[in-house]
Amino acid sequence: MDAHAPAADRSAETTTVVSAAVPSASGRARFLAGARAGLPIVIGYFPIAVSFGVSASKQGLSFMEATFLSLVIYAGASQFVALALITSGASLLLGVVSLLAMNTRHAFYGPALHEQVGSNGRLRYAALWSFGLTDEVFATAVAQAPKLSWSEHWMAGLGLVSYLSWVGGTLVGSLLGGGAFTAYPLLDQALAFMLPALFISLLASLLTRRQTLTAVAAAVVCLVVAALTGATTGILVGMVAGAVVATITAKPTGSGSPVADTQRRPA
Amino acid sequence: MRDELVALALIVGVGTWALRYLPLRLSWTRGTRDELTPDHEHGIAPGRRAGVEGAIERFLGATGVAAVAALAAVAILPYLQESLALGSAIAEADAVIAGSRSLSRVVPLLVGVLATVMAFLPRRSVGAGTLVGAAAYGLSLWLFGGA
Repeated sequence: MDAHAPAADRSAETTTVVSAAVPSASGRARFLAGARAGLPIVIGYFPIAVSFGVSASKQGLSFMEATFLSLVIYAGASQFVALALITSGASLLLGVVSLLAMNTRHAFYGPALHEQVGSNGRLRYAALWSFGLTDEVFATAVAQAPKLSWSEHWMAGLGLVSYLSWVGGTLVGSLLGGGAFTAYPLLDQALAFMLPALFISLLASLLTRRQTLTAVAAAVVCLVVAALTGATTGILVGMVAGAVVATITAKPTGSGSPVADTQRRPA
Repeated sequence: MRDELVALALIVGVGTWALRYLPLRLSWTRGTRDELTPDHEHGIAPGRRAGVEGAIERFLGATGVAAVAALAAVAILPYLQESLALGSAIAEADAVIAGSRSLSRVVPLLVGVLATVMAFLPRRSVGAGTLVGAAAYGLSLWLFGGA
C-alpha cells in the first residue's frame, strides 16, 4: 500500500479496517474479545507474579500482605522494589517517592492510547479500567487497537484478565512459599523469559517499516541509559527519545500522525 | 498486616492510578473539545495550530511504538549484561572454559529471541511468540548447561 496516498484515501481505508473486525458486537462480545487479547499477558504475568509471591514469602511477608501489594499497587517492577524497601526498613516517604517515580512513565500511556484510538473511543468508565493500564496492557492495547473497533468493554476485558492473573499468581506464589523454585532453577529461568518474549512479540506486532527508526532509537537510548542509571529512567528516556526522533523525521500527513501507518497494516 | 505496608501500598496504589488515569482523562477531554471548537475560537492562527498540534500528535502517536521498544530493550538488558559480563571474564579465565560459559548465556538468549519472532510471524500471534520463545529459551539453557 502506498504510504503517501492522499489523506482522504487513507481515511477511508482506516475506516474499513476499524469497522471490519466487530462492527456491531455487543458489550459482552467486546469484553470477551478483550479478555482473549489478554491471554498472552496472562501467560507472561502468572509466572512472574508467582515469582513475586515466592520472593515476598522469602522476605517474610504473609500471603495476605503479598496479595494486598498486588491488589492495590498492581505494578510489577515497583512491587519488587517495594519488597526491598519494606524489608530494609526504609521510611514511608522514601518508599512513596521512589515507587511513584518508577511509575511516572505510565503518565504517557493514556494520551498515547487516545492518539491511537482517536474519536473512535468513548470514555465513560476510564476511572475503572485505567487502573489496569500497565506496561503490558498498554502495549497490547496499542498493538491491537488499530485492528479493531476499540471500546471500553474491550479494554475492561483485557485489563481484568491481566489483573486477575497477576493477583492470582501472587497468591499462588506466596502460598507455595520461599523455597518453591529451589529445586527447579531451569524452570524458574524459562518462566522469567516469558516477559521479554511477550514484549518482543508485541513489538513485532506493532512494527512497520516506517517506525523502525523510532523503535531502534528508543531501544538503543533505553539500553544505554538503563545500563548507566537504571531501568525506570531508561524506559522513560528511551520512550521520549524514540518519539522525538519520530516527530522530527516523520512527514506531516493529513492525520498528522504516524498512527495511520499502523492502521493500514494488514491484519 | 503491618500498618506501614498498608499505608505504602495505598498511597502508591492511588498515586499510580492517578498517573494512569488523569493524563488519559485530560487528553480525551482536550481531544473532544478541540474537535468541536474551531481554531479561531482558541485564538490561534490555523497554520500555527496545525504545526504545533501536528508535532504533538506525531510525538504521542510514536510514543506507543517507542515505549514498547524501550520496554523490550529493558526486558532483554539483564540477559545482555549477564552475557557481556561472562564474556569479559574470558580475558582472565581459561579461554576454553570461559568461552563455553559465555556461550551458555548468549546462545539461549539468541535462540529465545529468534524463536519468539519466528513463532510470532506465521499467524502474527503474540501468544505463540511468548510461549515458544520462553520454551526455546529454557530448552537451549538446558542444552548448553547454563542453569
